[in-house]
Amino acid sequence: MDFKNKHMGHERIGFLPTTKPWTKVVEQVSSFSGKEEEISRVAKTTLDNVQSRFKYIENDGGVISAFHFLVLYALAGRSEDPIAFLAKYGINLSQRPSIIEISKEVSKIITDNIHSKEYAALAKSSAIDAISEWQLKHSIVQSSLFSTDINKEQWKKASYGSGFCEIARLFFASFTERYLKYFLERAASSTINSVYERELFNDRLESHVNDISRHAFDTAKITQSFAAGWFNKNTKEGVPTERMTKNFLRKAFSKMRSEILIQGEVING
Amino acid sequence: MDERNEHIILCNGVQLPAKRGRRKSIPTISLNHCSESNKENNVEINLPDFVTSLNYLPDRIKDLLEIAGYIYAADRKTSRGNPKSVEYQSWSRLMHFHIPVRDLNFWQQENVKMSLQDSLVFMTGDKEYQFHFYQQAEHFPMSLFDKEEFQVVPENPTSIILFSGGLDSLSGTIERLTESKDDICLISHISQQPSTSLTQKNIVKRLQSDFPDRVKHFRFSCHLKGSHAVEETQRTRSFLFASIAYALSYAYKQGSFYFYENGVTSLNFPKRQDMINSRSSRTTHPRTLGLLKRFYYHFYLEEVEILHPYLWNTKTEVVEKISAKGFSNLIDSSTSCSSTFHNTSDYTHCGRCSQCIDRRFAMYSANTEDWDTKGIYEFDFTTDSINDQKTRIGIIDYIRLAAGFKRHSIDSFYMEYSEQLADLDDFIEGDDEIEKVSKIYNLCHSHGIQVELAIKKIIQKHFDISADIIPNSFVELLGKKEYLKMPVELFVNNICPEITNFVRTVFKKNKPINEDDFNDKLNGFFEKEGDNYAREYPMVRFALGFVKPDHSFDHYNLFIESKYLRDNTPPSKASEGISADLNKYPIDKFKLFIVYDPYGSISNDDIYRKEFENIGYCKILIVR
Repeated sequence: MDFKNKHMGHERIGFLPTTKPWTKVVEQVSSFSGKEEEISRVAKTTLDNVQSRFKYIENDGGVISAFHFLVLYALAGRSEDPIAFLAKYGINLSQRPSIIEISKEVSKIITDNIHSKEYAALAKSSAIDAISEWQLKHSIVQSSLFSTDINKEQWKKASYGSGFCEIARLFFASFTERYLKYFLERAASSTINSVYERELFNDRLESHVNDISRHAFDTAKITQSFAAGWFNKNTKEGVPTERMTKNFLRKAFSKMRSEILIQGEVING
Repeated sequence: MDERNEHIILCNGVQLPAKRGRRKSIPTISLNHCSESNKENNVEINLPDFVTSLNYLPDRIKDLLEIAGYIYAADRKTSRGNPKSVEYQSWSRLMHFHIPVRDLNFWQQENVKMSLQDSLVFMTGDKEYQFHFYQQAEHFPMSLFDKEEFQVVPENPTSIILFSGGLDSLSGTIERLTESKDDICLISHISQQPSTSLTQKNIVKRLQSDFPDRVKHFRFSCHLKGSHAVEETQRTRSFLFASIAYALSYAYKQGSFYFYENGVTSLNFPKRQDMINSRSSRTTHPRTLGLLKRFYYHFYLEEVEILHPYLWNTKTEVVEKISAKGFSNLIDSSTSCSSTFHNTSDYTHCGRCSQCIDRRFAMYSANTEDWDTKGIYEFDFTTDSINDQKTRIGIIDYIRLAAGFKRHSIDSFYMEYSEQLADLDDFIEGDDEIEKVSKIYNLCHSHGIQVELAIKKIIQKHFDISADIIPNSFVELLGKKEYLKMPVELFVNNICPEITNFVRTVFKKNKPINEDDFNDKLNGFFEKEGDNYAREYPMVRFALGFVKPDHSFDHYNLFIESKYLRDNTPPSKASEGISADLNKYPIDKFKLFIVYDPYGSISNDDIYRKEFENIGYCKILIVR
């Protein structure tokens, strides 16, 4: 019997293509020995291979919806009643919304706008990451995620340019990290030979992308950052249009890519 | 980007009406299972035999079984793309089904179609399922007794159980047989794999022998005919399976049926980023079963219970159940392997697929590895060299996930898996979110601990310290690849007496000021042991921060922590610290805890040590 696709079972394991650009990635991953510069190099090589796909990501319905959710979440902080504000846009939360509750609403919003299920899944996860990390950082009662008690004063911070900048940074950092892992974990699991080094690889990658995102979003000068500027300008009259959101997505992804490519070039000398 | 993977499926002679038109670019598949000319049949859905065995099934349910059969056939005849694609855009398909049915009024209802679509989209990761139903031209009774008045009337309460021949369904069946007086109806789907059918038959025969007159076995055949499958991920198989069981539960007037699968496999959290969108299967995911339950409700507006008794059990615990019931002798008759297609040997298990890997770990953890005889495995990763990519991926990813589960606190688990928890929230029982998350966390955490135990056992059982480490062995896979290390436990055993002597000498006159002072002195001792020693290093990520051990030996993958019990300090203080450290440090690091107890707070050293050494990869050294 000659089956073309022999993947019965609980997992459909994938691999990277065997073309030259991807073989290079596999080689770089397999020679990983724990050094940070190796991660910079492999992140750059990976991005080089997928540059052309970003125009689809930036225009993908699911990605736009996920980011739009974050914009609405941030804007809600300006309202006297953030929950009621969000309800107007079809986002229904209780007065003390948990992360799970928010995750469900993110999922609902994205489901109606999916182009690519792959991009939608990455965007959904990234939006949830962004909100949960932001809420964790800014909640008053930090004893447990279950009792996250974000009050209106804290929520209001999200509606400032600086607050939105942080939420946006978290989203793009998460998306970029997940997108890189989408490729690199296929190579990592098959070529890195020990559990210890495999863990180290992921740690280094996460740390690298986090650093990149801080540069890309100018978090050292947060109020002057492009994200803060965009938010302040485009939410004066209310909710930004889809065109405005797409422009921002394009710019933000471009900045992330540039930083990764620059870092990778520096390492390569 | 529009890599639309769209298909039109025309079933049993349906022609698309001219007015609807058809985009010529959309591939069309014709599926026939009861055409007038047998030669045109390319799907076998053995409905007549099944109905005959039950005497009677209403039209609506006969339709259900045919629809499920067509969906399953279409699933196998439409590719989900190449696993070596850059992106898996083709994984999610758009499927348009055109199916003739007997009970058109029922199937045309929008809520029925939407419910069916929701179930299939979640379980498969496909993009969309659209259904167009038509009145079947004519239909005949399947047999003389295919009439309502000949319906089966069960004499006793009956448990309907989906039976694959694997460990979980075997354990569940044994449990129902021993803990209830129910008659048991086992239902199996017969594919084209003789080995699977044989496994099922053999086990059933033994159960029928042990429990006379209580076990019936129904087998439903559905497979492609005359052509090979192009796609074998078979994510729709769950729908076919469940529909067969529902039909049986209807026929037996039971209102429920059992899916036995351990919770960790059911939840099947993705081990890697690229395993999204049901590439980690959702066969018995609580949401899958919950959506199916909602779908079946539409049939007669009656609640159907899809029982999932092992949702809160790990695989280890399922195996322990078999053992506890005294049926360990059936373990090697069961088959967990998913690679039976490719198996050209006499072995029933490849030893390399995710199911085989999971099974082996569970066996060691449950102390039943000797019942899971080596003779059934073509490859045994506990002893053989792991040379192929796929097996390495399987084992490394499996251990990483389990290690992560064990490391997480409930809060960090909630953060990491909030998306997966959101998928589950509406479909598991619990008074509130906290209770539900706690249950899931405890399940995963238990799994992590059990896998760690299994690893320890495998190392203890198969690692010969007098021999060279086998290249590419399981033991080598846990540590760093560029070193061949002395066993860490041997090293620890060697230095413990020296640590004891050192501490007694240094603190003979003056006790340490505090734990830092204690560690400062130990620092001096450890530095002479070699240049791979470090103080308060490495930084290890835990939850949202980083932690670091007091001392470490990189060469041995060894972390060392000190606990100083000052006067009036209860031993529980040190215990809490040790428990926390065991939780947060990586699974593959051996942990040595030096507990300095100059005032004798610990009343029983053996009990104190064993409490931790039995559950963690560690050693407790109590020094006075």
